[in-house]
Amino acid sequence: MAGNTDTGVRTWGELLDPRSMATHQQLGLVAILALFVLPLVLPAIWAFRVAGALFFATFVMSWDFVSGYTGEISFGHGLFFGVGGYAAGMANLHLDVDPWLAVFVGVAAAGAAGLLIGFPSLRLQGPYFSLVTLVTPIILISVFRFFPDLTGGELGLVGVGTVDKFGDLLFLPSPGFSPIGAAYLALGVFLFALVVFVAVTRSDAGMVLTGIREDETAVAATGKNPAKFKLFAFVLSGLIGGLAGATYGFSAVGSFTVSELLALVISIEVIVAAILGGMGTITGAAFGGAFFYILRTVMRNIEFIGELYFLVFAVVTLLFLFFLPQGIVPAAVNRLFAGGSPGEPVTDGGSTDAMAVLRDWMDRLGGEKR
Amino acid sequence: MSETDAGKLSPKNRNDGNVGRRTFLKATGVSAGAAALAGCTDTIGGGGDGGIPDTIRLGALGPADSPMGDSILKSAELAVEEINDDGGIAGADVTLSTKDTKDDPGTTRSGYQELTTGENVHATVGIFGSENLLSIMGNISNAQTVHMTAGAATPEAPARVADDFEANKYWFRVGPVNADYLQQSMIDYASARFDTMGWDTVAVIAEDYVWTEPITDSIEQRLEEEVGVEVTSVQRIAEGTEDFTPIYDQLESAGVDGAFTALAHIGTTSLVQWAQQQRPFGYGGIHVPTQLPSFWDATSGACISTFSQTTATADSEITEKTVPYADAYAEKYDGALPVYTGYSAYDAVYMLKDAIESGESVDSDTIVSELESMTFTGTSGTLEFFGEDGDYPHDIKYGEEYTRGVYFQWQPEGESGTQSVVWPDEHQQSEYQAPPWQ
Repeated sequence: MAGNTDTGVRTWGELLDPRSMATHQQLGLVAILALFVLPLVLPAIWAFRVAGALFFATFVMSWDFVSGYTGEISFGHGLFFGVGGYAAGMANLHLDVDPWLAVFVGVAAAGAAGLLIGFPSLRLQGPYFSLVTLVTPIILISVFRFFPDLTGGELGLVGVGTVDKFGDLLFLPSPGFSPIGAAYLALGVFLFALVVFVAVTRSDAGMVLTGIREDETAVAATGKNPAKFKLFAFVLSGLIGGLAGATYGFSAVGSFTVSELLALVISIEVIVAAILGGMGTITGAAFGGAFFYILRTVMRNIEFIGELYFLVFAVVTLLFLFFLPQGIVPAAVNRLFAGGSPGEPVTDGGSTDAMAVLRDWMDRLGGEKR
Repeated sequence: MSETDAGKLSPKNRNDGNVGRRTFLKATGVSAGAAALAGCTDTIGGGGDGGIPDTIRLGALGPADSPMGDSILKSAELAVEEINDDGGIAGADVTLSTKDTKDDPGTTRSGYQELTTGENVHATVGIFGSENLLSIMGNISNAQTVHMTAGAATPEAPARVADDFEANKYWFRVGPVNADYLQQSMIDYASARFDTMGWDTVAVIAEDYVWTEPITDSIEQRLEEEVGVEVTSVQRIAEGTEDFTPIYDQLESAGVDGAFTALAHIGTTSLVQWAQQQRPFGYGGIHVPTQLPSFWDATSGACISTFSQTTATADSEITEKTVPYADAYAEKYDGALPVYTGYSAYDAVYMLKDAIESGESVDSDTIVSELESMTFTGTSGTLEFFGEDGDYPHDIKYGEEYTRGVYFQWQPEGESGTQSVVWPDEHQQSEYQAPPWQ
C-alpha cells in the first residue's frame, strides 16, 4: 500500500479502516486514542505535562511544515507563536474581547505575520532568508519593550493585569485553570494542526513543496510558481502557529511572556525537536515535539540530574542527532516496519490514496474535472 | 531529604491528595460541599490530633544559578534539616522539594505546578524576581496553597490580594519589604546619614525593572522635600547598558556628591566602572550585587566604600537569631554566607512551622489565619503581616519595631574587606567612609 499507485479507488471507509493501515499508522492511531484517555487516568501534573507537550508539538509541526518541506530554514519561528499569542492576549486584556474570539484575532495576526515573512522568502534564499527570520522576532521583542503599557514589556501580559481565563467549554472544566481542560484544549489544537498539515503535505501541494526543497529551478521549469507555494506555506504555518500560541497563552500551562513565546531559545528548540523527530514528515515533527518536551520535563525533575539537566539534555539530543540523523520516526518506520510512508507523495506522477478518494468523490458530485 | 518510614505510609498516602484533590474538585466544578468534604480529609492525619499528617511537604523555588536563588534553596533546606533534627513540625517529618526557576516566568510556573499539583506540597517558599512572582499569582490562587515570598519586592502582589482577597489570600511576603517601603528606607537612610556623609547634591540611578518603578516615581520630590538635598537627575537605566561613562560624566559635570542607586540585575558593571574611573562622588543605596558577602573578592576590592541596604549582614545582630543562622549556614555550606533572600526563606519555613503547630493543621485556610495573627521573631526582625484591610494585605510590615533591614558599607579589613553596618543607630558598627581616592 505504501506509495501506492494502483488505480483502484477505495472508499473513505476503506481508507480509514485501521485494519487496512500500515503497522506504524495503526500505532499512531493508538497513540492518538491514548491521548484522549491519558489526561483522565494520569495524575493531574501529567495532564499539565501532556498539555505542554501537545502545544509544543504543534509549534514544531508548524515549523516543519514550512522549513522541513521547503528547506527554507526559519530561525525565528517563535515570531508566529508570539504574534498570535500576544495579539490574542492584548485583544482580551485591552479590548475585553472574549478569549475564544480573541484566539481568532491572534490567528489572523499570525497569518499576516506569515505573509510578511513569506514575501522576503520570494527574493531571499538560504542563509539570507534565515537571517531575516532570525532578526524579525528580535525586532519585535525590542518593539515590545518600548510599549510596556500595551505588552507588559519583559514581564509579558501578566504584568498589566490578569488575562481572563477561558469559561467552561461544554462539559470540560475550564482550560484556563484545570489541568484536564488544558490537556483537551491542547489535544484539540494538536489534532487540528496534524490533520491540516498531513492533508496538505500528502497532497500535490506537498509534493511541490518537497520539490522546492530539492530543486526550486526544476519546479519552476514544470510551470509551477514556487513563490506562490512558499507564500502559502508561510501563511498556513503562521495561522496554525498563531492558533497554538494564542490557546497556549490562555491555557493553564502557558502565559503571554516573551520567554515562553518569542524568545530565540524557543525557535531553536523547535528546530532541534523537528530534526529529532524527523524533518519534513509532520508526524515526525509531532512526535519529536512531544518527545523533546517530555524528556526535558522529566530530566529537570530527576534529583541530581535536575541541576545539570540542560547539559545532560543537550548531550542526549546530540547523541540522537548523531546516531539518528534522519530523525526518530523515519528511522523507526524504515527499520522496524520496513516500509515507506504510505501517505508520501510519489514521484512518478501517481497519487496518494487520500487524493484518489477525494477525486473519486469530486467526480461523483458532478464532476469537477481536473 | 528523608521520607517517612514504611509504617507511616498508609496515612500519609491518604493525605497525599490533599491539594491536588482540592484543586481537581475546584477545577472540575464539583460543588462547594464536596470540596469542603475533601477539605475534611486534609485533616485526617497520623498524629491523631485531627490535623497533622505524618509527613509535611514543603517546596522551595528560586533561580539556582544566582546567589539570591541559591540562598533561598539552601536556607529552606537548612531550616528543614534543623526542624527535623528537633522533632519535626508537631511531630511530623518535614520534606523539602526544591525547584530551579531559572529566573524565567515559564520555568517558574512549571516548577510551581510540579510542586503543588505533582507533589502536593503543603506550602511553598521563595521565588526571587518580581516578574516571576507575578507570573504565578494566578497559580497560587488556583492551587490554594500558602506561598511565602522571599526575594521579590513588587507591591503589585499585595495589590492583587487587596483586589480579590478570597482568591489571593494564600500569598504572603516574608521579605524583603516591598518596593514602596524600599523607597521609604532610602528616604530614612538619607535623612539620617546624608548630612554626615556630605551628600548635599545627589543623582538617582535605578534599573529599568518593575521593582524600581515605585522607587523612581516620587523619590526626587521626597529627597528634596523631606531630606533637603538637591537632586540633579533621576535616571532609569536600560537592561544591557554596558558603558556607564557618559552617565558618570553627566553626574560629574552636575557636581553630585553621590549616586544614590536602585540596582539589582545590572549593578555590577555600574559599580566596577565607577571604581575603575575613580569618580569624585560616592556610590550606594540599594545595590543587590554588593550585598553578596563574596563581592569584595569577586571585584578585587572595587566595591570599597560602596554601601547598600540589605535585610541583614552575617554579623549584625538584628535579633538573637540572626548570627546563629548565618553561622549555621556557613557551617553547612563550607563557609558560604547567605544573602538577603536567605534570611527571609529561613524565617518563612519557621513561620510555617509555628502556623501549622498552632493551628494543628496543614489545611491552607487554617495556615492563612494563623499567619495573619502571628508576631514572629525571625532572623530579619519582628515579622508581622498586614491583614485584609491593611495597607498591603499579607505583606510584611516595615518599621523600627518590625523589620527595616540595615545599610552596610564595604570597608577594608586587613587584606580583604568587610560589610560594616552604618545604619540604623542600634546596629551601627562604624561610620561611613568616603572612597579612598576622594
